[in-house]
Amino acid sequence: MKVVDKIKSVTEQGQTAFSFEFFPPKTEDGVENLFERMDRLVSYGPTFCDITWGAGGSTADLTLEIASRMQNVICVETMMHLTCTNMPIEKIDHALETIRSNGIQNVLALRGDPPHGQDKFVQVEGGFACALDLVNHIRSKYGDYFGITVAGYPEAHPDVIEADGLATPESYQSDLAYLKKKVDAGADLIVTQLFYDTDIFLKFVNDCRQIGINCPIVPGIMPISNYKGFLRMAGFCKTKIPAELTAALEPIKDNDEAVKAYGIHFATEMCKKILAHGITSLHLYTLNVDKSAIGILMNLGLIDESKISRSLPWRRPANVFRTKEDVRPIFWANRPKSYISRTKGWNDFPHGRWGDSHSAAYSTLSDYQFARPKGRDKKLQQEWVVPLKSIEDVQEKFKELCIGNLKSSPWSELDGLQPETKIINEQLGKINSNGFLTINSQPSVNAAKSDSPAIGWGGPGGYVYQKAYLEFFCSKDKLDTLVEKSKAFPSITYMAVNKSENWVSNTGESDVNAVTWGVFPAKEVIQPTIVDPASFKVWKDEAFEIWSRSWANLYPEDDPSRKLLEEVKNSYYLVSLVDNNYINGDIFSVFA
Amino acid sequence: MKVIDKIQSLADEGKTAFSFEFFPPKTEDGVDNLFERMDRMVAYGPTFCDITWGAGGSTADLTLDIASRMQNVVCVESMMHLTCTNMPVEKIDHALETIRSNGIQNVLALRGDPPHGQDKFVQVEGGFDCALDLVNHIRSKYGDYFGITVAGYPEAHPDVIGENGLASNEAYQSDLEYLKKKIDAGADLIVTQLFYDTDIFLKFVNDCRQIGISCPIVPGIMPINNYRGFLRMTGFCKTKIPVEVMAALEPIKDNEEAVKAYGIHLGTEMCKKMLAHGVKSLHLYTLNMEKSALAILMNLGMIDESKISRSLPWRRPANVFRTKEDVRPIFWANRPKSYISRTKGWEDFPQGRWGDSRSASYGALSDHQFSRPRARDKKLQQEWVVPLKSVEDIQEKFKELCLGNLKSSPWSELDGLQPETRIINEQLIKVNSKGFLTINSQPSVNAERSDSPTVGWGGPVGYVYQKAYLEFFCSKEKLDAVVEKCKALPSITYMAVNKGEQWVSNTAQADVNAVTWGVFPAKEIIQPTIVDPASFNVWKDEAFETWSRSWANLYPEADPSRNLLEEVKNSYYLVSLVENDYINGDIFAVFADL
Repeated sequence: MKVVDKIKSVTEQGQTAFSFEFFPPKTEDGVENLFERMDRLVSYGPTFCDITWGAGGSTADLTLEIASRMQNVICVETMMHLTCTNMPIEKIDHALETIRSNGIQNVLALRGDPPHGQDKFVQVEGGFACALDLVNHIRSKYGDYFGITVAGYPEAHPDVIEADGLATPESYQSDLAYLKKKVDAGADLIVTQLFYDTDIFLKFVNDCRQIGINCPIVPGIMPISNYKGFLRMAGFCKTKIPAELTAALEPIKDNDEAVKAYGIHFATEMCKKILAHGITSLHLYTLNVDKSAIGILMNLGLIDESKISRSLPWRRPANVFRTKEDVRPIFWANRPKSYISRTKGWNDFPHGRWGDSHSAAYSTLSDYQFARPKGRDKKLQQEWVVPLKSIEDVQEKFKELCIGNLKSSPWSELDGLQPETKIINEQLGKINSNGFLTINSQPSVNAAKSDSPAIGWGGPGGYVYQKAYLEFFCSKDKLDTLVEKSKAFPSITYMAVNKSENWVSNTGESDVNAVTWGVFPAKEVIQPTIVDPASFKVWKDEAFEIWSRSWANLYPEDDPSRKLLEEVKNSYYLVSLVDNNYINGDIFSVFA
Repeated sequence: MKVIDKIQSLADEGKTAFSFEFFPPKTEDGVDNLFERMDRMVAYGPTFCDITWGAGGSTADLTLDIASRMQNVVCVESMMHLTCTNMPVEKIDHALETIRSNGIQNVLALRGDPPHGQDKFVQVEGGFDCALDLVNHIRSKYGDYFGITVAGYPEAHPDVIGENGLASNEAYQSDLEYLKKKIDAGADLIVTQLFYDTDIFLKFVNDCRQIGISCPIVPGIMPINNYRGFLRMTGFCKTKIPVEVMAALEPIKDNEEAVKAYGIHLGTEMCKKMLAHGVKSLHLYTLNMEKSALAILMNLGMIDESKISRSLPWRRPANVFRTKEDVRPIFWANRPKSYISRTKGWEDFPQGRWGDSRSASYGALSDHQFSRPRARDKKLQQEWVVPLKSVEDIQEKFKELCLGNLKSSPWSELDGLQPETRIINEQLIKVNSKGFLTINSQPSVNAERSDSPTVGWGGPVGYVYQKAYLEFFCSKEKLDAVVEKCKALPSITYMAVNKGEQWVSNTAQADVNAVTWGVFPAKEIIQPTIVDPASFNVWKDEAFETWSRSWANLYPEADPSRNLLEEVKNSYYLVSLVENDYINGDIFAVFADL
């Protein structure tokens, strides 16, 4: 979705939009850390996030990849910066085509900084000289597909700021006129360069309106995190530092914590003033750090740490081709990245209900589904690679996972347990000790308020429901016992399959079971999570493969623990169990 | 859906199929009566119903019309008889094309009886000589679209039954061979001529199997209703009457009730014997009467009067093009016939959810939406055409309707109130007395068992839910009061519109609200009834027009009552009200103090 449309929609609802900017880290670890922080920040519901183009255009591929992951894995509306530095048209088009194919619809068009070692911007052969040319090109080549954002400079562009820290009125007006050309050429949103004098920004907005610029103007706020960095950045951008700000920082400049706290306070006051003047959107330059940005937004009451609202029990996709998707099989609940990659080729995504199966269209397993960030790999090594002498040792690991002792799981891309699973932790611990190795579960929920903390979703005024669900590995013997027991529990439906595809079930092949749903005012029933036999058959290959790729293979070859795990993988069944009676049923009765 | 597939599907589930046969009545009143009875009988869930072709081929158009209404309004899987009598190929094709376009997929192919005044069948010029030719023609022209049923004669065809009431062995075998030819030509189901000696039927089935006929063979059962009719029918069909039947009937032949009771008993015993021999389907020749057929089925335990199960809160369509339809707007809840006719042109029907609005494609209002069976017209005249001096008199009529005192309503095609509405009758009476004239409503339901008698649907082991819904006409002043009240009741959503299309609402135009839904094992959520602003906008025209076409126009022109009704029609608003909190909400709180 276009950011300008989202901002207008939020504004019409009388709310304030906020967004975050990130930059591409230099190291692989830095990238992983960035995504961890981003994931936390995105859970507060920013209207969009943007990722800068590498300084000097030097990290184009990395930026493209990060942008794609932001849109499709983090699931946040992503705006990618695009600059003219070192970018002939072919490269620009390649970048635009890449993000379009990844469902990204927003671009911030910039001239960009001078290349390394240069003082002035240099137009590359076959490239563009300025942002205006870039905007024109994007519009002529891609029509209305992209939302185009451009930069606004409240104090005028640094290039025209004199030694005294000011631009001449002529330069300032010329800069405004140029900005208008960019908007007239098709840009639909302005995000400003950082500033620390709010009155300058407000005057800038007023001046823009005077010359006919009507699109939203979003202030770019950079919290002061440390003194030296602040001075360097303000110097680089030739940003005016108000006297009271300098005075406030002087006594604490050697105290990093104090500077950070003051930075939060100062930015909060800036934002309050800006909001009081009718601005309805804020853009925070995070410098890839989350604390200050969150602190400011909490001070403003825009976010509440204790009440992160989810529109669905899983994060809704931002990819423009699958924004309407709102139903998924429960099997990938802990592996959303894998699910997204295996359904990438679909033409349509389930909307409102699962309907007919999409089993034929799941893509085959590849190395991608088993790729892990280095940090997670390390955690798996530390937590899961221990000597396993018997099946009881394997059970012990699963039990530890259930009671929350482990931060990683071979079967999960997420950190720790889902909040709602904690409700049934003790019961899960028991059945895992008994040889039912759970990898996915949810408790039953009957008419909980949709704004209840752990299990609510979809906004206020509704009721949410869940059928209890358990998914586990177990031996053939235990499965047989379970099947026998299930005969006395008519509300239990199950499917079980082993690596050799022996199938045991008491439901039909086309029985799609909604296991999470919500009822809201003036809406059709929303059923975001389903259990679907055809998808279960696809998932089982991934689930069994994880025994090797995310656990056994972490041991040295020929290690006895590794052999044990392979044996379990080859002989155990994967079972999916639903208690359809979410009102009076007890799914754990079948294990008693 | 093809009847053959339905029967096989039921057999796979270990259940018995049953079905009813009707014939086209001669009079218009007879047709209306037939549909009333049919509607009651279909509520028990027959696998299919069939309608005979007019004797002598004389009522083709009527049969076509009845078959279409059976499929699309009564919503039962319909099988139409088709005979060769007086039917050149063009007429046959016209009939087949007509039923196909009406979503009917089942035909019973017969040679037919001789034309009037003839003793022997006469082949018409350009027509077919026998059922086999007809089967061949249907298959060659329509491929696999139709399920084709043919008649089986357990005692051989009447044409070859001799004076002694029997067919010779050669004639019987020849008849079987002919039957097999019909099956080999593409027929997939056999329904038998009536019989009263079960052993003859069982032998017939066995003989069919012996010569390679493997499709289902459905026995045709005609309960004995009266003695003279029984004798006439068995004489006409040359059916053997077992001595014990004759002996049982002789002493009671002048007692119609006793004959009927015996007929039920005999029919029941015959069926029990057949079911015990593995027969999976029963076809009842009703002669357009319901009592005997239903009694036999109840005796067999196949239907239970107190537990009519509904797969949806409204009757699921049988039209082959809309069998997957399972979501409808609540506005036509009392006018399903109208809804079906106004959505006839749709290419797709909502399944699983309403999704995007279809407002653009509703059919325009026509006379069809306001046509009524004569009996209903009479009821409306009797019950609604009374002097109306003021709005209070109008309110009084609506109140009487809520009290259950009236059998008809201008805004309803159905008889009486919906059962579930009785739950909120008292409250409805109050709001109608206050000037909120309700034409549609449902109470809130929170997690009732899906097999609950009053509000259940969809089969056992599920839970059903409803948001409370009220739809009413009221004046502008009263609407303003409701709107004001709703500001303090955030879980209430409303839409209101008048004839002049002034719109008042607290929901968005695209907000589709599921107001009935069910949760079942291993299923997605079923949400069969929705409130949709775009559909409400379409419905309002019909609702306002009903004031004139179903009430005001029943008065003489220039009558003061008529004028009053037109005034109300032109000034009142139609309001749709939903209480979204089906757990703690009370939709009637809106009307307190008003």
